[in-house]
Amino acid sequence: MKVFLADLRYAGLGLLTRVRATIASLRRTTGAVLGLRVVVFGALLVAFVLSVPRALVWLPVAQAVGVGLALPAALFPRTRMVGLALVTVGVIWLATTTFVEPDFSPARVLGLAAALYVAHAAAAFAAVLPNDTAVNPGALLRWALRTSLVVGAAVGLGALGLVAAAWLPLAHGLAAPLLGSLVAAGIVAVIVWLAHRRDRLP
Amino acid sequence: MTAPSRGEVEETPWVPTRALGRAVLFCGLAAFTGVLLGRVDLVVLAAPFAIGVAWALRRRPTRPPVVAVEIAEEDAVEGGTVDLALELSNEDKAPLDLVVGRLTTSAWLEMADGGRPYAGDVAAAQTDDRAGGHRRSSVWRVDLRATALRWGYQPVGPAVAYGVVGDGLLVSGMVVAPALTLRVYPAVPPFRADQAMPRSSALVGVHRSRRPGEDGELSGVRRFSPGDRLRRIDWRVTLRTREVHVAAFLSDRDAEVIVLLDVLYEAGTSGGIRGEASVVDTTVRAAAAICDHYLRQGDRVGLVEYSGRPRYLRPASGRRQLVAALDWLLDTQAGGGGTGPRFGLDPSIIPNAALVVVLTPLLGPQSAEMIATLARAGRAVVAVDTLGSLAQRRMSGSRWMPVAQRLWWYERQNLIGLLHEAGVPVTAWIGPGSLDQVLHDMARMAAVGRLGGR
Repeated sequence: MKVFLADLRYAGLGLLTRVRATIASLRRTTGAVLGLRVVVFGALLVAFVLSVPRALVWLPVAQAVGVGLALPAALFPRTRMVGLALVTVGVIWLATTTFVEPDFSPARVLGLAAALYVAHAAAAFAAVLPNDTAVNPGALLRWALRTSLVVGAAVGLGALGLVAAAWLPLAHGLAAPLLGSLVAAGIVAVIVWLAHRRDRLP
Repeated sequence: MTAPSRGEVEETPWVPTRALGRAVLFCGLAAFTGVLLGRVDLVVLAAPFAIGVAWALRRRPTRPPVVAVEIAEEDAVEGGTVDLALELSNEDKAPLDLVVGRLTTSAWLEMADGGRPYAGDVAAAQTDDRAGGHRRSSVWRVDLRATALRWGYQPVGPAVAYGVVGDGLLVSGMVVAPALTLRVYPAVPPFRADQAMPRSSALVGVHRSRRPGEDGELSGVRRFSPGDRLRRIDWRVTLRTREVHVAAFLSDRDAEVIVLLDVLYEAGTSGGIRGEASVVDTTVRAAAAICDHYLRQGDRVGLVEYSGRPRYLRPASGRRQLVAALDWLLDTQAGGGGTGPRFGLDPSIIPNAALVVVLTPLLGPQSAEMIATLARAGRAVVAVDTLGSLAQRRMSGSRWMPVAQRLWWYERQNLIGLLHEAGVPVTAWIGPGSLDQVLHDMARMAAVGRLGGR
């Protein structure tokens, strides 16, 4: 019993040391890294709010689910939590628009697309930065600019696609396969191009 | 400035991060589901990811960043500041969205920023047409400042860095720049020893010896004898006594000081220049102060380390010897107390006329034996207690600890008493004037010994 208690005491001391180390590490967190994680959290929360049915948004359960999705992704951007949050929001959107609210505004889907991408981009940037990194403000500013450009271009193209689909009711059934095929072709092209470039490396 | 330490540049591959996989997966899933269900909105959700990946990967570098460390000065003094630099450069024709670099240093170098990593973007390398198309790398330099907290050889580095492109979709392999070494000299506490040396050697120097000589301190007036210089005649005394008298002087001589560092045992925990001093800290700083004082006076100073790794610095004088002594002190390491030193200190390596200052915590019987051996061999030995306030510190433990500590303390006092009986004065290290009283006593004892001999 005495040995067990001594072991327990040592285990407690070890735990305390780890907790202290974690607190010390958190205290060293810089504003830039914290800001990126806040962006991840905020963007995912916005995406969640846009994806769930309007009637459920203000329910405490829905809010808890939203925070439960966004917070782990913001805290652990290097893990699969971010991907899980993105896919979950996508699935919720699919379910909402299929079963509850089939009529949605273009602004809502464009907002959701922008929020999801911002969450992904901020998490990708935060993942390569240790907690206590002092980030050059210029680098952060240029990242924000690039992300805004991508979001702007995607929102523009998305709006065009949505408008085109609405204008051509006959082609509505063809729009998704066409646009989707284009995106898929783009992805394949990027992957082939990357593989080709890798072969040509000196 | 020291030569910068540069990391090896290798053609390490840029590896995709989890973010790239996530983007492709989400994009593919959304696009596939959109096509399958005929939903344009899902394709719209996939669009930013597709555009983002394509945009981010349009330019991909082949070379990782280069990291280098620089130290402005090769050496520093405890408590002083050191300027360091971390240089992160890009030799590739594609720009880097981020280069993350971290410089690790010895715990005894307190970085002004707490030793955090730095991240910034670095532009693409510029091709210089005038230099035959040679590519000039773009450099991002981070200036850092550190405070040296403790003497010794303190490593600065290694520095590690990695590059990020595609806004976090690709990262390079880790590049490492090897560590540089910074010499941190011990802070020399103020020290003076105004008393004359009990023994002196050659006929040069600043110490008043007991031997007659020229141009030294006036020792008295005596009758003229054949061989005396006429300019030494004291005319006032001659006229008064009507007999020719001359002024007699004592010669100025230099002394030889051997500082013996007893570092068989370490006690206490070093807190650096701002914290508590351990035994080795006190020993090294005191040795530096004694060397500095006597070498500035023109004396010859030598050093001996009494530990498991014995070392000896031959006595010499001058500025060069001070630098050599300070360098020598940086290698001081405690240890060997458990097994005892591998050598018996041979008194013959210590000159007869030398004053031996033993800096010792008096923690082991070997130390007392060594001091007694030197005293028995006829050397003028002074023991300086380097344990200081650590001897009085109460230790926590069982209820028997105070009793055990008291017994240990009595035993140590007994040891000090035995050394006194063997003719070795023991004094505590208190900085200026630490040696004055004992040197005064030793000089008097030496004079009495000479008178008795007559």
